[in-house]
Amino acid sequence: MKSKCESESESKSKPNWLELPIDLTKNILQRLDTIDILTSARNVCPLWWNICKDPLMWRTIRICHIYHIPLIDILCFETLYLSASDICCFEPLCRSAIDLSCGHLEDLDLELLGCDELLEYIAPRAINLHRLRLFYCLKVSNKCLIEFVTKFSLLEKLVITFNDKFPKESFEVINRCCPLLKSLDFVRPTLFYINRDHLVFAIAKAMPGLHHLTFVGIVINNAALVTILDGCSMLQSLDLQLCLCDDLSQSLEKRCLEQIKDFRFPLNHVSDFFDEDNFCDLFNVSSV
Amino acid sequence: MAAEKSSIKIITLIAADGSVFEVEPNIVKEMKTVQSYIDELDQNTVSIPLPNVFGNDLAMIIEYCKKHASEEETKEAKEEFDFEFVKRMKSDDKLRLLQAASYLNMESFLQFMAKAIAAEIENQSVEFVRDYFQIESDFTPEEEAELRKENEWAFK
Repeated sequence: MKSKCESESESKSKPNWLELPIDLTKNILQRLDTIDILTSARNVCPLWWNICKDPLMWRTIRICHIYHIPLIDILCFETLYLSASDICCFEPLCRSAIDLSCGHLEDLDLELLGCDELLEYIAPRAINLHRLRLFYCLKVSNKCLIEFVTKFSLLEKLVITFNDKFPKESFEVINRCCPLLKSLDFVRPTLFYINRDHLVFAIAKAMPGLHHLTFVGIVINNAALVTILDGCSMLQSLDLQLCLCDDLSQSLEKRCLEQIKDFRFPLNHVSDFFDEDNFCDLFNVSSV
Repeated sequence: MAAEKSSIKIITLIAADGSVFEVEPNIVKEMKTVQSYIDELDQNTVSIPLPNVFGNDLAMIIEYCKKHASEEETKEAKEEFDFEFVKRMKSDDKLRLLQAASYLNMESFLQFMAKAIAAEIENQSVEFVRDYFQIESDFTPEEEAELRKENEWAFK
C-alpha cells in the first residue's frame, strides 16, 4: 500500500516551475541581488522576463557582494579592490534597474559602487524611497551624498559610510528634509578608530527623533555618550559594538541599559576588534 | 493523551496519497487553511483531507512545525534544524514544499522555502538556473531580440 502511494506521489509531483503561482515566483525572484535578476533570472524564460518587467518587482534594488570577497579583505586592502574600472561596469546595471522601477523604488542598497553621476541619475527617479543604504560607496562626494539624501522626504532608514570631512552641519539639513527618518547607521570606513565627537554631538543635537542609532568605527567617550542619551531621548536601540570606548563608567552603563531597550556595548579594547571571528560575526560575513 | 481534555482536539490530516497523520492542535496553528477549518467545527477529533499535499511532503512539514512549535528548543537549535532540513532536499522537493506551504497558507514556512530556493539560484548563470528548475528557454526570435537589446551592456 505504502509503496503504491509513494510511486503515485512521485509521478504526480513531477515539477514544473512554470506552473508555480506568479506570486510564489515573484517571492523567490525578489530575494535575489539585483545583479542576479538582471543578468540571470530574468533571462531564464519569457515568463520570468515578463515578471521582471513589472515595476513593483523593483521596489528593492540591492547591489551588494559584487566582489565575492570577504569584507575584511576589502577593509584591509581597500585600494586593491576598489579600482574604478571594476566598479563602473555595475553602474549601467544599476541605472537599468532604476529605469525598470518606474519610480516605485522604496529600498536602495548599494555596496562599494556608486559615484556622483549615478546618484544624480537615481535621485529624481526614486521619490518614494523609504530606506537607503550606501555602504562603502567611497567615490561619492560629501556634497553629492548630502544632496542625494535630502531629496527623499519619505526616508525612514539611512545607512551611510562617511569620510572624515563629513560636514556636521548636514545633519540638521537631513533632519529637516527627511522628517520621517527614524533610523541612522553612521559608518566610518577604516580599521583605525578615530575620535569624531563633533559629529556625534551634531547628530545628538540635530536628530532628536531617532529611534535607532548605530555608529561604526569611531572612538566614543563618556561625554559623547551622555550627549546622545540626552539629545536622542526616543532611542529604542543604540548599537556601539563596532566602536571603541575604553572609559565607559558604571553609572553611564547603567543609564544606557535603563534608558535604551536594545543597547549594544562598545568594545573596550582595540584587540577585541581584531579577533577575526568576532569581526566576521559582527559584520555578518563568513570567514574564509 | 491530549485527547483526554475536551478542549484539546486531535487532528487527523489525510494526504493526497491517503497517508494519515495525527497531530496535536499546536502543530497545525501555522497551517491557516487547516486552522480555519478546525475553528468552524466543535469536535474533539477532526479529520481533514488535504488533496494537494502528498504524504512525504506533509511528513516533512509536520516535522518542521513540531520543531518550531516546541518551546524547549533554543533559537540556535531551530536554526541548525532549518539548515539541515534544507540541505537534504532536492530542488523538486523545495518546489513541492513551497506549493504546499502556499496551499496550506503557512506564512513563515512559505517565506522560509522561498528563501531557500532563492539561495540556490543566487550568483548562478542563466543555464544553471534553467537546468536547476527544469525550465526550457522558449523565447521567440522577437523576444530574443528584445532581450538582447535590453541586455546590451552584457553582450558588449
